[in-house]
Amino acid sequence: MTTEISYLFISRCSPYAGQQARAALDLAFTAAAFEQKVSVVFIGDGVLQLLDRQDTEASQLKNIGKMIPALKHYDVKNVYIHQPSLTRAGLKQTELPKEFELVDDEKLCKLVAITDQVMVF
Amino acid sequence: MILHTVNKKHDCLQTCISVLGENDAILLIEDGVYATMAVNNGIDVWENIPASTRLFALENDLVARGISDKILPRFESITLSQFVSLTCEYDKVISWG
Repeated sequence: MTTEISYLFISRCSPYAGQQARAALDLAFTAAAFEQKVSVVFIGDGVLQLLDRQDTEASQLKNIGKMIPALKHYDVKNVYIHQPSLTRAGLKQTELPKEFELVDDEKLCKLVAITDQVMVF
Repeated sequence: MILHTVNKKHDCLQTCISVLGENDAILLIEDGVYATMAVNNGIDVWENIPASTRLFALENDLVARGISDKILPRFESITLSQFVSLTCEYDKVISWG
């Protein structure tokens, strides 16, 4: 018998400022592999992880941009983008993956309230 | 003549700008390069920087972050070896952040 727990990973750091962005994605993949109910929200500088055309070959960093599309293959179905953060970063929704849902503060509050485990990176 | 390098978003850039001298230049590296984008946190930090101040950003860091096509025209994108040349060209280097 397995118990399903819902997780919400709040990813709030830019892709290469430290290990935070990478850690959030790794954990989301892991939890999903164990068939848990996983949601991820990109907020604040975290929305910068969603930019396509990240090319880390010269800087020898792990490409975060390439990990984002993998979320859906790992069965992480609920991926959200915090809309006010997009505006603050000067990004348009058209520049970002279309399959992710935009959320406002109110929706995010609800997500936090209904999820069993919320972790911030 | 000072070369100021900034490697983080926001705060340290503001501090750097507040002490900027007449012939100084700013080089954005690592997460500092996000400040090259046209809209950054809804604030145009470059508005009050004189046109004579040279502004640089490290190409590798722009490319890694996928923003090389979003930078303001004022910025000159430079390679690592140009970075080395700049450090020789200027009297000293101040690393912010």
